[in-house]
Amino acid sequence: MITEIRDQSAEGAGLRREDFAIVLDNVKKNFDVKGRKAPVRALRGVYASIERGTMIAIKGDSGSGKTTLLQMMGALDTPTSGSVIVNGEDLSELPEESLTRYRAKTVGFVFQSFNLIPNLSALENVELAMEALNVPKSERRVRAGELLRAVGMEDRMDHKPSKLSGGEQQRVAIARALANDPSIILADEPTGNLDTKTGKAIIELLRQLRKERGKTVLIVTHSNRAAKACDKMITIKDGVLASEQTRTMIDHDRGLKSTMREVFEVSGKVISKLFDADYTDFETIANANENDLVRVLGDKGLARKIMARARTAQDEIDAEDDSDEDDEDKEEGSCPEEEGGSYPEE
Amino acid sequence: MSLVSRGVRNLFRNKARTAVVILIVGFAIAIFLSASMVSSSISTNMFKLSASLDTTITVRPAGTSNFGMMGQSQETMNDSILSQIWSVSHVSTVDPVISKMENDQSSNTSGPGFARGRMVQGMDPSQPIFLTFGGTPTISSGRALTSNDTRAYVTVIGKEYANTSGLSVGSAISLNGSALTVVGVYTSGTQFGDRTIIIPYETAKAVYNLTGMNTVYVTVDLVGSMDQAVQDLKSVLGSSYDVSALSSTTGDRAGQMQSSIDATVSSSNFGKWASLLTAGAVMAFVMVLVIRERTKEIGIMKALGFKDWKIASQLVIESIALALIGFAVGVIIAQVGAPYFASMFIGSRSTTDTNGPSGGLIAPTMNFNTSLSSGLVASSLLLAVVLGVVGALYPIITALRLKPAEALRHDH
Repeated sequence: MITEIRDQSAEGAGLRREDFAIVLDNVKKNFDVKGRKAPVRALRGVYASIERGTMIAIKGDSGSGKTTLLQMMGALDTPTSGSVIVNGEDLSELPEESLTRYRAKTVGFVFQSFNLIPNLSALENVELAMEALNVPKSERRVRAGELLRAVGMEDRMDHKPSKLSGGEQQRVAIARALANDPSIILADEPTGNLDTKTGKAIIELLRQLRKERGKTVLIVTHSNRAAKACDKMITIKDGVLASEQTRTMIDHDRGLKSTMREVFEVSGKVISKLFDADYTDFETIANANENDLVRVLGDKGLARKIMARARTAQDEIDAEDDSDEDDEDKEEGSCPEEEGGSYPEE
Repeated sequence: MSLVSRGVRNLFRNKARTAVVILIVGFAIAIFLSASMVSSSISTNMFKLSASLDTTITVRPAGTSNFGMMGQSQETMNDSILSQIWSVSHVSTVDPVISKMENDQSSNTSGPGFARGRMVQGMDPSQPIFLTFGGTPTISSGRALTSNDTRAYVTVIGKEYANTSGLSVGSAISLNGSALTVVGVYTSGTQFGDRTIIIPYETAKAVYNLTGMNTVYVTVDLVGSMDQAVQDLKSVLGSSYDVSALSSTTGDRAGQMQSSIDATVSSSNFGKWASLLTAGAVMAFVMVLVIRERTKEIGIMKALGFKDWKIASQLVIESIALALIGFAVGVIIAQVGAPYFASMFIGSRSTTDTNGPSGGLIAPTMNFNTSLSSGLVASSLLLAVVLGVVGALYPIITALRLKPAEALRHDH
């Protein structure tokens, strides 16, 4: 899988690394943990190329390394080995002062827990980001006001974070992330602490940033809904990129999942379990080992029911395919075998 | 919002804790100020006491008396001894004196021999008249000797001697065959003291054909340094000279007083440094707490692209502001409670020692000034700033060493 992903990376596509917003080249990260001799290998060699102006979801189980990966891209941490190349510059080659400027100017962070400074107002929190770049006070105030208006917080500018709802705090955090007009927005579980409706609104806001301001947006998320809103979804499993799906593929999966829910008459949760275990089509499920499927679903009756329905569905698909082939043959009007001929030699 | 205003505003995020810390630091600074006031008062009073008590030490050739007896030859000390005496610490004045007791054949007094004798004393003419027989001489007519009289054949004589010898200002007297003019008459209130003839030291050497003095009167700057100075002089001059305090009572009282003062100074010094240490420890501890609580915020600021020195400045400003408020509170407490704090260091001692050997010397004798001097306030202000910086330094350095991601993971 890594090789496949690597083939899709900058070199594989015959493109230069400067052509991408971010290029990850064999990024590895180990953490030393007290009481353990061997370090924890959070990232085991990640390759990826992220195009400018795209919105990417990074999915994966807890502890899979997705947040660590985001932190590498934001220069909040350094890889143990490998390179994170942003706009053609290898972050590992930059001195600390340049990294500080990179964090202030090139990337904007949105965190799950908002990370606003509690004793500063919404306006002051947004201004704070500009203070890092020594933007004059009057300019800071005007721009912070504009950004808060843009995220719909014009009436709550003077409120402290404790007086704001989760969704409002996240809007302030997004305004703060945009304060220095960065080209890349890195959002770590931006909807993790929000209800569904508010989460949807925040994702929509991030989509707007991508669409209207041309920002490259990377979102670490557990939420399928958030992932589906993105142009591309990459999945991290055990510290490596396990899969990469384009929007079309995501839409395809979405359609397939919807069909499976109807056919199996089960909840979306059951479908997610099947997909997570790589049971992503009727044929695989129909031919699966029953015990394996029981292990995945945790319910023998349910596993049997699903297998039976998958077989039926697959049979119907096969029958349809046969009938389609017959029709095609008829339309072509000649069948070499029937005519005693043979397939033409290539 | 600037670094300074943010740093100061941060102080009030946990009002209760800040109030407690300010009070602790305030009390520590108040104790420091009070202890400093006690030390300073003791120093001031020591000088006053030294001035009021006799701190004279005499140096003579071994085995000789205070003055040569009538007509007897007397051993003298060479002038080179003076530089040796000056080398001893706490010596503030060195007065070489030539003393001669002469039989005054011209006197018309009757009575015992000593009453008819006259005392000749050669001394530095620029110094006030000092009588080896005691008493406080004041000029009753004419003038005193001056530095212009160093080698002049002039004299100031006691009133008793002037009366019995029929002398007055302008008269001439003969000493060892040399004629001297009387330029002044003094009175000391004692009959014996008023029979002395004071002449310039160099003149005395010439009149009596001497190479040096027979007594050196040495004064020390502090009454408490008397014993030490006597010991040091003995050690420097060796056994060929007798060194002794002129007044044994003064020496005893000085010793007793010194031990009492030493105890007071050491207790006030202990209080001073203990309070300072307490304030420093509290500041450091609070800053450790504050920075532990704010490690995540430090991570946020790093993630926003703040330079380390800016983050550190904000925290140091916060710490200094805390120390300065503590300092202001400390000054107020010290101003109001100075007498109480001063009694912590000296009051108990004066009470318990009242019947002891030192007789409660300190408190009754000394007048303690409990108002804060501007110098003391300025030095403790500086100290507060240093406390603020030093207290914050270690936790700040520790926090700044973290990578932004590590700091962000931190939940207190």
